[in-house]
Amino acid sequence: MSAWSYTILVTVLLLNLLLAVTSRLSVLIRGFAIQAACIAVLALLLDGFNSPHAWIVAGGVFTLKVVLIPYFLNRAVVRTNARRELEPLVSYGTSLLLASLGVLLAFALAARLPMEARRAGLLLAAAAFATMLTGLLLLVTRSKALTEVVGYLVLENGIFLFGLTLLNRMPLMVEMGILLDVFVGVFVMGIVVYNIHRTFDHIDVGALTSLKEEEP
Amino acid sequence: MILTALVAVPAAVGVLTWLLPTRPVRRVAFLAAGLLQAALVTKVFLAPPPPEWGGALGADALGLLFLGIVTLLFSLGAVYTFGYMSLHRHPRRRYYVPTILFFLSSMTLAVLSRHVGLFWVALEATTLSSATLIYFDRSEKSLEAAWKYLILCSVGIALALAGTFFIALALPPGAEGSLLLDSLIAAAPGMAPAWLKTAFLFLLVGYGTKMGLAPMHTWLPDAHAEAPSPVSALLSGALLNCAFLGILRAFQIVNAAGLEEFARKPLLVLGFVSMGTAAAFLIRQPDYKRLLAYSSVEHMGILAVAMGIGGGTAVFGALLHALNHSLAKALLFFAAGAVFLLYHTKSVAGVTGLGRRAPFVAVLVVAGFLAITGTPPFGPFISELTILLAAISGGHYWVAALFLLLLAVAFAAMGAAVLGMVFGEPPELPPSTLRGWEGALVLAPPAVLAVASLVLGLYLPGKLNALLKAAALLLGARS
Repeated sequence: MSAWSYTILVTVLLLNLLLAVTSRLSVLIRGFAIQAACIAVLALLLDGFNSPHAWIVAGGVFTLKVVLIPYFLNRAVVRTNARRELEPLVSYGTSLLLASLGVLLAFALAARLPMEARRAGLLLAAAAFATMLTGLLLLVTRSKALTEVVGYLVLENGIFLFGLTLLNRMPLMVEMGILLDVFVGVFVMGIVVYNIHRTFDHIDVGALTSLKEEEP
Repeated sequence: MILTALVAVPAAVGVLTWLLPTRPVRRVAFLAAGLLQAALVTKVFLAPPPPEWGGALGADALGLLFLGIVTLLFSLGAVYTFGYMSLHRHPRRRYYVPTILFFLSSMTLAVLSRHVGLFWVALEATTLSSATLIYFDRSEKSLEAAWKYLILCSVGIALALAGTFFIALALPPGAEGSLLLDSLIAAAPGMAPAWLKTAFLFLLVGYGTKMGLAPMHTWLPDAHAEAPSPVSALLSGALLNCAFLGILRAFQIVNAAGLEEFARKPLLVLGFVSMGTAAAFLIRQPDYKRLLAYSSVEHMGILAVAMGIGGGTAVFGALLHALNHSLAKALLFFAAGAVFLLYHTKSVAGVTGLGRRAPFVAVLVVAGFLAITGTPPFGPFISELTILLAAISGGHYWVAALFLLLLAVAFAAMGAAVLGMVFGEPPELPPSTLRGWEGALVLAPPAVLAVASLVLGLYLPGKLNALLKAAALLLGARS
């Protein structure tokens, strides 16, 4: 692995800490997008700049995760007036602590992998595990629907990092399918989030519906 | 060609119906697509075609079994929907027919895919296409149900993607590269065991979330109860089985690596946790659609327990039970839709005197209840007995005792609810709307399923027996 790959992987690791401490949704979305951009570049670095397969995957990651998904998420932030995560279940200090512990745990897990599984090196496996753990942390400890969507995306980033080691083993169709699923997933989640916002803005209509429902 | 058509035709008709402006045309196209799919699948059953897409798409015995279940329920559901939506005074939903056709396409892709990555893509696509169907009512509750379903299943399935990559990482360094099921099974003996075990646990938790195994089942009662009844029948009878197939595919690889003993324990534990959780929530459940949803959790638990017991008989029983559960549960959800049309409530307490108000629906509900609780002479009785006998003959007496106990609790809890609904005086309500051709279309599909369930309880056709045996053989059943 080149020095460039190391730099990028360290960036990915540090971004996890940023994602864990920020309360601003716009920063959260930008952090996710930069992480995705790192993954796109890594796909090229790992598979070689003359592999068309790597270019298509990198292009797909860039278009969907760096451009389109952040664009939709930012629009959703504006539409639902949810600029900050105000009620996290744990404080941001605890989040940072947990994320740092996550990085340690990630290195411990990566070091336990059998050697042959670490084709792309210890750092890649550790970065992938740490990103997955950060995603799960965001999913578990944040209460805003949009923050949970970003948490899901960060988790998926971590998993995709693992996938990078398999670039030459996967048919292009499957990689594109994974990206498309994530994109459509975020699109559908965005629709639901928007509807949640709309329903609870008109709280009187909401009250009427719950009266009609059966009480358990 | 024909396998590609099975996946592509529903999707293409879906796009077409999105463009069609008028409702009657959309509905007829929907019905036609359901029947066309049934015809194509019959052709596949008569002459199993060769694999397509470089081996990524194929119909082995396991795939054929689940393909049959998905298609049967979808075709009956299409007929049912035609009547149900005419009678149900629901708001117009232009996206309903296109999304349910995409849903069919993605489920068909899942059961036919013989590539672990492609299977993942297909199963995630089923979540996305069915989420909007759950939000059909546009009520606060259905919104919450759709959100829970989306986020929990997406995260669960993301873990399954990690598990899929871990399988690839377990491959020895020089191994041939693809993630096709066949080449993975061939390479399995040389895989790194620690890595493969981790992969199986991720896949079990990931696809287990989608299958509704407790404690990852929390989205299921909400989603299945809030969706319109024809969709509930598909979610419960067809989609849960697709997720089960994901676990079975992982089991095939683990089994080929000689690690089946390792795989059985977590299956057994999750299975019993599911049966226990379901039994606890079935007791005095006030909402009859949630009652059916928890019963699905129970039956997914039964499938996991059967795989956990292991051995040829138990695996055979699990596959037969997957089929039997689908028939009986779809019957019950179709019947529940009819009950909803008659009483306009989902509350168990709000439904009384069904036997007087609509005797035929009452017969369907009672038949469905007897079938789903494993009462002879219906199909589930045979499959549950097979699993029980496998546990006893394998010397797992505690497993057998616990299994029987939890089945008995489910029987008593569901029985109490059904008795209250069928007997007594019906409340003052406008006369039944289940009449004419619409009524017939609503009542015919559950009646067909009731007869099918009864037939499977009395006699197992030779061809089905051979298919189940071949499928069990793929899962390492030697006897």
